[in-house]
Amino acid sequence: MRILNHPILGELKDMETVTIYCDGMEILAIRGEPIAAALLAAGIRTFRKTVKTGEPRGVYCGIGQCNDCIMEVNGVPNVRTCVTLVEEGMIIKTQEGLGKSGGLHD
Amino acid sequence: MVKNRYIARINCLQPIPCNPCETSCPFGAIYIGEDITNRPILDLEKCKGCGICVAACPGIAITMAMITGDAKDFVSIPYEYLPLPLVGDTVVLVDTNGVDLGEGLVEKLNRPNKKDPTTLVYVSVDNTITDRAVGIKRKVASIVDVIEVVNRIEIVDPIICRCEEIRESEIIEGIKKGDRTVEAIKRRTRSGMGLCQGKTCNRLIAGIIARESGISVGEQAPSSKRPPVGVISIREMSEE
Amino acid sequence: MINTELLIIGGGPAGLAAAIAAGKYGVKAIVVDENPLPGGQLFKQIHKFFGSKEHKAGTRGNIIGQQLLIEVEKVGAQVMLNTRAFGIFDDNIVGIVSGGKSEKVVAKKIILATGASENALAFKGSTLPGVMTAGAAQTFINVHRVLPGRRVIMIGTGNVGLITSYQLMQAGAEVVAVVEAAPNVGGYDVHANKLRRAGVPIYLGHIVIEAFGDSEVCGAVIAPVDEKFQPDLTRSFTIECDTICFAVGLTPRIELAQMAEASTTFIGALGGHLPLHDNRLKIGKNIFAAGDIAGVEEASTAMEEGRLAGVVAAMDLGKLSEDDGNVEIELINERLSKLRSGQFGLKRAVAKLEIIKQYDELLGRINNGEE
Ligand SMILES: Cc1cc2nc3c(=O)[nH]c(=O)nc-3n(C[C@H](O)[C@H](O)[C@H](O)COP(=O)(O)OP(=O)(O)OC[C@H]3O[C@@H](n4cnc5c(N)ncnc54)[C@H](O)[C@@H]3O)c2cc1C
Ligand code: SF4
Ligand code: SF4
Repeated sequence: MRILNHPILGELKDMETVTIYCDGMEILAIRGEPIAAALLAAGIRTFRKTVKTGEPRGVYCGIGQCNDCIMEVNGVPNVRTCVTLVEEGMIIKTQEGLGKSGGLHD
Repeated sequence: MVKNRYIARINCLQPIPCNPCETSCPFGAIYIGEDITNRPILDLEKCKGCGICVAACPGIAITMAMITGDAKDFVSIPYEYLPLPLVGDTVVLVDTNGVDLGEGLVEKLNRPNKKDPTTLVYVSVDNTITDRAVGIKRKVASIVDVIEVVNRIEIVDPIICRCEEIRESEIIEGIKKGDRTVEAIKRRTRSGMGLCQGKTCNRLIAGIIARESGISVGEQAPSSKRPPVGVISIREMSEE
Repeated sequence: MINTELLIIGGGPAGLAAAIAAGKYGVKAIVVDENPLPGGQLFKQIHKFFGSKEHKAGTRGNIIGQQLLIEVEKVGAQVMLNTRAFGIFDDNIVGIVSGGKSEKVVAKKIILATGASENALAFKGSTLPGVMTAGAAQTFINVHRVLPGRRVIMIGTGNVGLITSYQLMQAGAEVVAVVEAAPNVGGYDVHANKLRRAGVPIYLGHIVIEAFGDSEVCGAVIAPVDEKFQPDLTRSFTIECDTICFAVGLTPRIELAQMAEASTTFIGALGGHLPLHDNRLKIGKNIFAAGDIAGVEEASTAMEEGRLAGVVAAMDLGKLSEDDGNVEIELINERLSKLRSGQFGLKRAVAKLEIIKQYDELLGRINNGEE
């Protein structure tokens, strides 16, 4: 949910949008925002499934420290979505375990 | 008692390091002094009821009131939520604990500091509540209740290390086997070896060691750090 | 390889203030920050700050952040974003990584202004999506302007928990409960009163023992605790929510200080293990620590410490005379002691002195050949 109007920060205006895709779904994102913000705005909260038990995870620290919000972005696994900004046409996938290539070093 | 004009009322009782009320008042009506943790003192005679301090206070701890001597008094309350009440609206006034005091009518809105969005809402109220009315109830979308009483919950093994999915029982197992430092637990369980490098779990593990072994977190050696901080791939390291 | 007079690691209030202070005397500084945006914690703080006029009290954190950035540009300091310092080698070589490439920075002086990271809690279900740090929630609502959820339970009543709760309501969410294990509110009354007036229930002497939900958090089980913080499960209850935030303190990010072989000590009042520093924030011959890394306090103290480190670095680099520098240092210390007074600040003032004392003692032992 976007905060379109805010008592302190005022109205959200002059936004430039970009289109990204999450698990095939088209999502309108705002240029300059991280992937995680666009997904939360679209109501998506589960970003990955863990390696051992397949538990769902989402945003935890929001500033790139915890690595819980990692997803596959344009085919690259383990991308920290809270500090990676959206780009037009980005293809994002819920990461299952270690992700497509199965490791940190692609 | 000062009548028929607005006077500031300051509800700031702790010695906190703060003095914008004093420095913002154009009439020198608030005194804090050299030690900024002193509590603010208001000079009723000097206060002109301009509301500038109300909007300047980071603690939203100042309101204003006008005693009329009649059935209706007036209060002025800073408000920082949306939607803003409008002139003519009926609002519910609350005391410091959020207890409903009854309704009042919005007479005027004002922003004493044009560069800052804090708005003062001027409300006419019954004189019986003037003293206690320090807040305007926020319009809440949904009322939330405690939904259910549960008698007994079985606490199952929580995850401590989010990255490597190490559970509390595994940490306790390590402590039973003699581990007394975050490092030792790390070697045994791989906790803190994941992508975040222990930023989330090291402190939790130190806490569990303290609880289980009695060695306080302070007495434990901090987990040692060798480069790299944060994860960089081998490729990044070798490229230069 | 990059050569610089001064490398500042961390672009929060401490790092930026350091760059400005040193820059004023002609020191060319480079600031690196791992984030895509500068400002550290400042831009998520849209509330007015405490302190006095010289600390910019009454000004909102995000506005202070903008002012700092303008000044940084004025003095010509270079800010490198998306750039993480991953290691310190010797006392003047720092490895940084940016855009997938690593590079060596050789700096005459280094200021560590890496801030602190938020503490976590662990209970059943604490890893479910929707459970996050208060700082994460604050970043999303105030910087990205997205609500992470609508019905929030906040854990912790320090100022961070209280302020974030207020800001969540300003952003349009409901704070359905604030839960605090201690028997009293940790932060300032004026902040707690904002919540009380809004009708937010504050459960003192309670903890969250479970978050539940199948794929995302749907609610929490809360129980009262005894003096030993043991929950009374028979009196537990459930509250529906879609978000749970942790505001349970911060721990200084001291990894780089450790790599620089700084000695550390543990001071609970300042957040945990910290590097020892002298009365000019030096943790080593050419390395300083300023801001939350040198003890978790506030943005206002972080800025003053940043200034102090910046001024001393300028003196060390010969850009500022001892006498002029000492005058500046005096003023900064006066402002710092103002911020560290009163019931809340005094504890920190004492703790900061303890760091310096331990540093001096250690230095004494080293000079005596004992270590
Ligand atoms: C909710 C909340 C409310 C607060 N309210 C107030 C208030 O009212 N008044 C007040 O004075 N203070 C307040 N504070 C405290 C204040 O925000 C912090 O004390 C202050 O931000 C600390 O500044 P800093 O520069 O030391 O660290 P930070 O602001 O944390 O900045 C450190 C920066 O360094 C970066 N970094 C760390 N390591 C590396 C590395 N290896 N490489 C590159 N970059 C790195 C980090 O990503 C970060 O951007 C509040 C804090 C919070 C969370
Ligand atoms: S209302 Fe105006 S005159 Fe009165 S104390 Fe506040 S700033 Fe001063
Ligand atoms: S500005 Fe507000 S919070 Fe600060 S001292 Fe004055 S009344 Fe108290």
